[in-house]
Amino acid sequence: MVELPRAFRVLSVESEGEGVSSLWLDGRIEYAPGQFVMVWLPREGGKPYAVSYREENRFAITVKERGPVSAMLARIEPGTHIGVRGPYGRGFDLREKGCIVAGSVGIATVAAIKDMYPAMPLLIGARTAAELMYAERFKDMRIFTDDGSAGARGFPTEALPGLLDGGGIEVVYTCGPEPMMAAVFRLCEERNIECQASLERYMKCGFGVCGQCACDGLLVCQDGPVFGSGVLRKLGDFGEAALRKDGRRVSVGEYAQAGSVQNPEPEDPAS
Amino acid sequence: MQVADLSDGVDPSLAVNLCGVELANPTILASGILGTCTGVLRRVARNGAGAVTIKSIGMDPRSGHNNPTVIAFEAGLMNAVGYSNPGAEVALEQFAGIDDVGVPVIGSVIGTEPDDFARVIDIIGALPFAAFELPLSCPHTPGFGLLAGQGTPEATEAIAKAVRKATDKPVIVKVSPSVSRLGDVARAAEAGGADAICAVNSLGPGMLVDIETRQPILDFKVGGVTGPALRPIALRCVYDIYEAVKIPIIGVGGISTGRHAIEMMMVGAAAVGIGSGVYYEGVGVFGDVCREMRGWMADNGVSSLSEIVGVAHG
Repeated sequence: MVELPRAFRVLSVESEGEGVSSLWLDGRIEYAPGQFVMVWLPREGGKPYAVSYREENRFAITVKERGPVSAMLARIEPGTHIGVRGPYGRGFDLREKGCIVAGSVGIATVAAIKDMYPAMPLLIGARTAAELMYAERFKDMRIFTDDGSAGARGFPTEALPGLLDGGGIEVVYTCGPEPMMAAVFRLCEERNIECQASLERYMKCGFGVCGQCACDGLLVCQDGPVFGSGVLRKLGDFGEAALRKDGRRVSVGEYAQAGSVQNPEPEDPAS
Repeated sequence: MQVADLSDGVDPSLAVNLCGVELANPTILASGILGTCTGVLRRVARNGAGAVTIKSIGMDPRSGHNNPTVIAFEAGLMNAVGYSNPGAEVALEQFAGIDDVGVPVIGSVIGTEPDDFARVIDIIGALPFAAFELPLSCPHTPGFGLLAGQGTPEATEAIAKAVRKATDKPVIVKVSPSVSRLGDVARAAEAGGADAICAVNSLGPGMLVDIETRQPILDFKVGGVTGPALRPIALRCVYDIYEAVKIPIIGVGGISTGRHAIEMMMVGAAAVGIGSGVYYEGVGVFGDVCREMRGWMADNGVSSLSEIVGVAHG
């Protein structure tokens, strides 16, 4: 058993929208939708990402520029090697009669489901048209933007009740900002429809030993990132709390702001 | 494993008393593995640990090193997490629920100066920790442990003394396998008032390099080695410390089976820490180790662990 990075050569960096790019990597990787990989940018840092595209001889991660590491990944030169560990975690339990609700870059995590079931309804929420991703890739997405600059003005959760009440949907797959996923889960619970949510937490080891990604007594890296309704019902921290890089338990709202360029992690005192 | 024949009158008990703390079994979750919040500690307790140790807390919050911080190679783990922790004031709130954990909880405390350790305990000591553990032995964090000279007998005694004044709870000093005068370090801890020694912290530091990117894999470049590679070193350290001091020893380093645990107790450990074992065997390792220990004890006519502690010494 080892947890060491495999090096992959960056083939290209393609823009997916404002502040979002996909890094295409040369090679193959075993991967189940909903799993994640720990990506290592030598000398800069490492972060978990979903595999957002998977082809015969190449695959991609989709990076939203947020903090120092993602900013460097987005500017990487083709030909550079980066490290990939994993895949890790428990992915989605995939079924045909589902629908997908994604928010922001969460669509990168659920894209693999839509690739597998092209006819599955996909509701996507983005802040603005400029930040909307994958519009060409998934031409039949139902688009929602905060400002109405693309698709409908509002949130994808507003359309979900109608979609579920129309029947034929047995499971809702969701990935995006945690308050959105919590709202999706509530709507599913009201209708006794199964929900599978892919959670995101700050990670260090990625393989179940350091405790950084703890969500109540569960580890997002091993017991998740995908959690089903049975677990979500009992997961008090879902939609409520997350651990920051220093291990401090904060609200998901505060967690969502931490570590961004606007709100950088405090530097430890140099000793 | 033979089925134990209890009619022989051997009813193996794993109960140990460590510095006055009653443990149902001698397995203790090692500091730095999983112990970031009470929810996870509870899960480890439910999975059979006799006690759990929280992730080390210092006075000030620390983010720790950048990733990669933990990797696993063919003979163990290597980490440079860098003592990320929310600081003592936040820890006081965050670990408020430790009396619900179900087993004794050991508070691991770090500091840069002897008084720091005492100051942390002054704050988190309001919580019902069963004992405090002082790692004076991290090989990869500037300002702490070996990189702050805390691994010397002199520093060890000073820190143990400062902490002794700050609490009546048992004080455990966690030592490094990499120091040259380990017996002297252990004796200094004992002289400073420590109630137990935890041996050992991670080994090294070591380094691993990815040859395609031509870079050390850990962001801090070097890290402490734990797991199977550490196990024979840890055993030898515990053996040496057992000869040097009278206070009990928590033996830790690469234990993942009941046989490993018994081996560690035979060289002198009164209890055993398990950390990397969680990686190799899953969080159920604690219960599995206990089952295996009881099975061995039944097969070998051992009814109490006190019968085997230190027996490997002449």
